[in-house]
Amino acid sequence: MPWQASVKNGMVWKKNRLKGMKLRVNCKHISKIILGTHSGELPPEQLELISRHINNCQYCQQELSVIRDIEGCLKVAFEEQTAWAQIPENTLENIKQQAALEKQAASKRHLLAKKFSRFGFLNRRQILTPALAVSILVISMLAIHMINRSNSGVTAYDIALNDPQLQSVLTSNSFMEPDKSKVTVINYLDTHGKPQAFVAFHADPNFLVVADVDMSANTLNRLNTFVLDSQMSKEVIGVAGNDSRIQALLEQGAIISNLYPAYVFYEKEMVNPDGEVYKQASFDFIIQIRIVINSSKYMAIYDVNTGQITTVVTDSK
Amino acid sequence: MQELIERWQAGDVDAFDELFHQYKKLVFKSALLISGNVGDAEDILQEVFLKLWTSKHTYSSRKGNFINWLYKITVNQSISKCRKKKIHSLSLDQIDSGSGIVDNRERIEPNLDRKWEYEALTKLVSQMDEKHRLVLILRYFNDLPNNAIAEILDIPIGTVKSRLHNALASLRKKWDGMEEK
Repeated sequence: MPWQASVKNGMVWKKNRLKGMKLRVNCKHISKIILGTHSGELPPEQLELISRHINNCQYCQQELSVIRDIEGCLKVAFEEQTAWAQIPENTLENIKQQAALEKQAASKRHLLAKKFSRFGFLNRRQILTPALAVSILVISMLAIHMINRSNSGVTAYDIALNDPQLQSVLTSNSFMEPDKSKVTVINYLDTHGKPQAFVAFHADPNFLVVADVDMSANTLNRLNTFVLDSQMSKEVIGVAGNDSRIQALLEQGAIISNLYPAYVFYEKEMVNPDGEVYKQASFDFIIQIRIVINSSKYMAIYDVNTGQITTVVTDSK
Repeated sequence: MQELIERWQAGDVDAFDELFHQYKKLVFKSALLISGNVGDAEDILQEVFLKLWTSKHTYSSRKGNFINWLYKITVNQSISKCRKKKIHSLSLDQIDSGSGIVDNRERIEPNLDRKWEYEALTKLVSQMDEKHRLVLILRYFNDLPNNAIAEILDIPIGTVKSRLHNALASLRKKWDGMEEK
């Protein structure tokens, strides 16, 4: 500690040992101590000096009282903020189920690694190096061939991702660039025969983005985003609870394990003003409701447009 | 406590259940205050205990107190969730609207005459940046001393003090204005 405190005439003084100067400890110093330190953490001699100053200073007495009041109110405010929240009853079971799934996945990975370790002879450098070189060459040639042959998927993805509108959505929500392998691109022709594409991806498990890309103009027509927030989740669970098919499962002890936003692409027939029928590609946002009972899994579909459960099926995956 | 931790680390499921029931509210409520969202707090609770289940061998008493370790996981999971979704704390009104069964934990009885002060404080805290909000939550909700907060947030104790000082000073500045209203 570079300074030492002492009391003279009821005021607290501090001596700066480094500069050899005496400085008066004013109310500002006391206020700093009141604001930053638990009284239990101060050495007894400092505590005593501060107490003496406060006893003689009306301003500090008032400040201390206000700070203690704020601290007390903060405690109550935090308590009040959390008092009404309830932990779902099935949390522990969910954790154990999740842990079992992770264990299963880890064991599969282990088995796979073990299986490949049988081909240990491949580790010999004289075999592995030329084999690796040939594989890389073949894969590269195949990749170049595939890209040259059909680059529409990659292009639609690039158009979407380079669009400032999409970039702004991603950056404003702190999302990273989506995993390219998990992006779905659907190409279709519009009524005038022009190439169009939908680029869909999950920016986050609960945040879905579908970009409508005009491939002939290389521009993004429309950006559709869908967020499954807690309020929406509650609504969906409420609707699911009123569905007789889901009710029957819940009565048998099933639990709703997860909600997952998704989309359905489809082509529908439209009629133009001249009475000509044409096909138009479109998509709907849906929410998959995953239900688990014993070892069986079910999936219900909640249609975001209608707010109804459309399907309840056994999830064979 | 030490025996319970040893049983949990040896793979005793009952010990894990006991730890869950003992600390679930602490984790859930801290996560709720940090994330400001009940749904996220539920996810964080699951993630924290799943981590506890799968990484029981990574904890060692030499790393420090078990509860501080648990807080550290909770804070990190909550921060990571918040940064993804950029959610700020809810106001009391928003939380009241999400009905639930009243928590059994012993709590400080609020003075109804001061409800508006609690609400105003909640709002002010929710507007603070993450680092100052975290220090206030750990100090005044979790009732932790500075050294424990420093350990949990992995920052020097002096930084804890200065953040606490700045956070309280900022609340203090606005306090008189609040009382005059």
